[in-house]
Amino acid sequence: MLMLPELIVIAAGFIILLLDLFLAEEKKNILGTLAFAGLLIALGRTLFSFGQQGELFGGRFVVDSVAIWFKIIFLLAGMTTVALSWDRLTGKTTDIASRMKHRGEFYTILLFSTAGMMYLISSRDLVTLYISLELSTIPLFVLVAWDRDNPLCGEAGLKYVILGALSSAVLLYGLGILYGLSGSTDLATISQKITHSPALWLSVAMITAGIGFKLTLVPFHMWAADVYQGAPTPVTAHLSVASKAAGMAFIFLLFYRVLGGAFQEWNILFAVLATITMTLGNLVAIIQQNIKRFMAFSAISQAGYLIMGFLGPFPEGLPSMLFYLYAYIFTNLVVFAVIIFYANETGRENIDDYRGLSRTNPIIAGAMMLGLFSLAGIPPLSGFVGKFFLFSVASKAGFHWLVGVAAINSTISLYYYLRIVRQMYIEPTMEDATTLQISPMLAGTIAITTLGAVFFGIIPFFYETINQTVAASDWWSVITATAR
Amino acid sequence: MKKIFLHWGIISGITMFFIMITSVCTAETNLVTLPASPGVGFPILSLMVFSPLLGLLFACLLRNGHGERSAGVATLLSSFVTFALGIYLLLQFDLNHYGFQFVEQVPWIDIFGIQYYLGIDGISLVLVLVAILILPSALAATWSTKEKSWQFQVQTMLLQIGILGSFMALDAILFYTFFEIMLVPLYFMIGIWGGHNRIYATTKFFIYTVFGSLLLLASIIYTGILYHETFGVWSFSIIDWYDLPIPASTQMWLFAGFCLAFAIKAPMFPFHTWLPDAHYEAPTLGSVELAAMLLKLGPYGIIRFVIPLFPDAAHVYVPILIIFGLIGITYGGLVAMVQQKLKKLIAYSSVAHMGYIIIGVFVFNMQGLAGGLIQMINHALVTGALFLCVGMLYQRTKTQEIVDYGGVAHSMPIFACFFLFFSLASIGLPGLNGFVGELMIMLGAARMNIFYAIAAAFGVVIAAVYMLWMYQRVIFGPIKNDMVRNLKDLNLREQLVLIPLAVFTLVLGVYPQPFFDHVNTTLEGYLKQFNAEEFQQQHKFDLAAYWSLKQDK
Amino acid sequence: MIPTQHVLILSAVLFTTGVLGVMLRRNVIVIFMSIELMLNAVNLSFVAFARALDSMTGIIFIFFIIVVAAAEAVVGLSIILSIYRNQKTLNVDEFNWLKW
Repeated sequence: MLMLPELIVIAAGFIILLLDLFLAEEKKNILGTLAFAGLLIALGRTLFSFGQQGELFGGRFVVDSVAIWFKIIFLLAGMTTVALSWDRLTGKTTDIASRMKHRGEFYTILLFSTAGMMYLISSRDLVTLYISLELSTIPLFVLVAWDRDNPLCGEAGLKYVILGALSSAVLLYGLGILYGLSGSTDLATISQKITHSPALWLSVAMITAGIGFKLTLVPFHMWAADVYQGAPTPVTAHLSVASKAAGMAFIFLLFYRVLGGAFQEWNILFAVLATITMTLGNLVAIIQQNIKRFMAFSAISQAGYLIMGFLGPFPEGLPSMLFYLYAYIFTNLVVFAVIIFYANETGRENIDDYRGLSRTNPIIAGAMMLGLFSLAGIPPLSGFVGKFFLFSVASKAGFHWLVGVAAINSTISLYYYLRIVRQMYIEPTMEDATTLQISPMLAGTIAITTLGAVFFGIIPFFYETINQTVAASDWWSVITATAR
Repeated sequence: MKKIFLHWGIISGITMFFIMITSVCTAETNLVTLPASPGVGFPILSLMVFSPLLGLLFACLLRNGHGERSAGVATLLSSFVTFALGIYLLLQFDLNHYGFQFVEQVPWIDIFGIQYYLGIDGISLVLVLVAILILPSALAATWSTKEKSWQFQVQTMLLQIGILGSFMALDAILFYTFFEIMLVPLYFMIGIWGGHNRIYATTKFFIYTVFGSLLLLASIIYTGILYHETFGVWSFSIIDWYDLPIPASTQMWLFAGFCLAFAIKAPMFPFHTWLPDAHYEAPTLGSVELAAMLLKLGPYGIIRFVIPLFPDAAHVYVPILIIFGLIGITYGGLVAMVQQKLKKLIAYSSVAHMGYIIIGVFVFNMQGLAGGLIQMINHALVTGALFLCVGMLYQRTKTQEIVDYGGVAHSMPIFACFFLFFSLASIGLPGLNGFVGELMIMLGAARMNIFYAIAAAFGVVIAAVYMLWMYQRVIFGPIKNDMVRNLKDLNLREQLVLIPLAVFTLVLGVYPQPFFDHVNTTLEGYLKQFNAEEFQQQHKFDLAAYWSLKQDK
Repeated sequence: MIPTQHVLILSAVLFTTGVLGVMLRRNVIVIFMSIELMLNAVNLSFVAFARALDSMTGIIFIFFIIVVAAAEAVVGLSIILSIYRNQKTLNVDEFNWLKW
């Protein structure tokens, strides 16, 4: 029963694949509903499994509260992607070029990728870890290259698949060394047997490089801008949240937990990575014109903030990182939902095209503004609270300079987020701008994500819950306690 | 006509309803109150802070189909509600109680011990009172301008929440939250309703202040961590922090972090460059709120955070900061002298006035501190009123250039009277409030070092020159052109706005004792808290001793 | 019996060759072959470790890696195919519509 959410997602994927063969084209709307329903049921099952803790397959598959929190992220991201791609796949967009075909396969592949991510956070073995990582990544290659008649899309897919395969090979080499050093693929055993050695350094470097690709850490971020721009926008949204969360899950399992004991002195590595990631992401974002490229660099800089949560293994670190992940996901999805809405209706993707949106569509512009301000960390939005937590963690770990750097970076980021706000609110309205109709699916997505982005910051219920559940049931604390 | 009454009736009815509901609700949740502090039976501070939400709500609701006036009515009424609550607060305030009153304490983010923690003492009381006086005046003064759209009203209300919250917050993170909330409405006010070069001005303003406040955030976090390391529990409450021993070397950094944020906000001399641009481009109401309330957060933050938390570092930095204050007075005055535009001139005069306040705050004695505080009030009233006057003039003529004017006194005699009155108050004419503040600051400065007082006194001379020269060019002389000839004098509404401000200016100048009664207890306790007298002695420059030393040689 | 170090060195050399191939070659198919070379180098290191540690886990890992490599090749080659249909080229230098 512990694996039920994953099984539901996979079953839904197969049912959609089969139904797609038999259903007539006009009846295929049900596929989207099915995908959404499958994810929703899995989400419900996951939510109800709080407090349950257990393992399957001799400890290879473990469910604890941290895993549940991550699974909720993946399921929410999957559901949002289904909702965001709805209009494009059903052909209801005003802009014909942004429509997408083959919806049966789209949903199947999306669900398989989601299942891969869910397995990833429950894996407690290098083999399952690697397999589930690939299960989550390989479908994404396909999703990125979805629109095969569009040369930009094909190029993005090609770049993503080459660099993705390269990074997974590098990661694998690192895992191989880890296996050779400890003689086991079981994470708990590895953490006990591992000792300091130059080979361990090499292994950590390789793993960091491999997973840095998924997390878009500088200098492994080169693909991000091209892929984000070329991919269909709902897929970009999915990449920017789910793929990043999967990378966080992987790095969390390996570095925060397994190597955590030996890891204290490697904090400096993460501090430096965080510094260059946020700085470069922010500086390059300033000059972007295409909003998807712009969001790519914004996502890069956000990854820099995210890994600040790894700087300390004290009790505040993990809830802070999880909370910022949630805040980031909700806020980022607000922005992407608006981008998708605007591209669906007008086909425009440049920052200058948002001129005067506040006059033609005030509510949507307001949601976008809240999202951007939350990304920039203006209180009392959730982005601010998340940043506050992470800054506290970094400060408590002794990296006061990093907090200063992050503060300066937040100022820079505010400057470029304000560029969009300025286009929407201050610049004169575009000549041909009219009030655009929004589909109920997108309207609902924008409403829910905006509410999340605003209220996670104000109402303490959410992070209190994270804190309590994480403290109550954590696989790692059990493992370390028995080891002692 | 009936319809308007209907609307007003509905608005006030629902207003009252919401106030009752919120007061009951917050009273229920407000479980953890300090028993020692005096207060009233309901959470009056929360009500005050969030009463502008009513105006915001109704401005949104009434935006369509009711004309733009109804949004304005809603916000004005809600600002009156805030004002009434403020008066009640003033009446209930215990003059003899040192410490915070009307305290409200509810946990917010328990993991880090962050609370929703409000309370006021004498220092915040007077600033809050000015804030609630200035807003209705500004709203009424800009009644018939183009800025009356409902979006603008919403920004105004948000700004008011931020201002009131910052003055009342006793938790550092809560303070920071309110501090930042203010920036967004002001960004839009300048950016959307501003003048020609508004995008440059608003971006500059925003980046400047956010840079300062993020350093503030970093410093707050550091202090919080320090508290956690020292006492083993999390707390971001300022009152808890006052007990925190901080090593002198750490204090130096934290002082710099906090002080930079507040110096940018104040603005102190080298960080003032955003102010003239922002003022010049802002719409009238934005300028008034900026000058009257936002700038006060700089000195207020220094009084509330910087000096009590980092006394040892203050010890080292004080001479530098006072010198900066003196430079600000002189430089601001000299630059104001050569300005060609009315609003820029007043903006630079603000820089000079803030220099006085900085000096008053940093001389560490009763005279200086009380003078700094009353000067904060004076500056809010007088500069606010000056910006309102300029706004009224601008609304008629659409020009800020001083050379376009001349002979306004012939066509607008009542305006000329008011303008003269506030200009003289700004210079510091004896009998008006500016004199009291500047005199006390100079007395305080003289107790520390007589040369500070002498240098500051030169600022008054400069102020007289630029203000009176400007006044002469704008108001006196022959009528230059048809534009000035056709000007209409102030109407009843505009006079009604300026009269209360003028009355307060006069009362504070002639009989400031009630003001001192309200702040005295707080300031005495405040100064005792970090041994200000001892401090004072160490920095004291004894002129007589200096002379006798010279003669001995 | 060949010492474990020698096998590991061979694996490292093969891996480096693969990395260099990805970076230097311009044809997409060759780049893909280089990635396969890297994966096989990893396999070799797993074999060496498994033999040295006398454990079967490493061998089992290899089977999974082979399967994943095949899946990756399938997806990669189909993307290459679709892009070749559009562009009639396989030179990575000519895929440059996206850039900053």
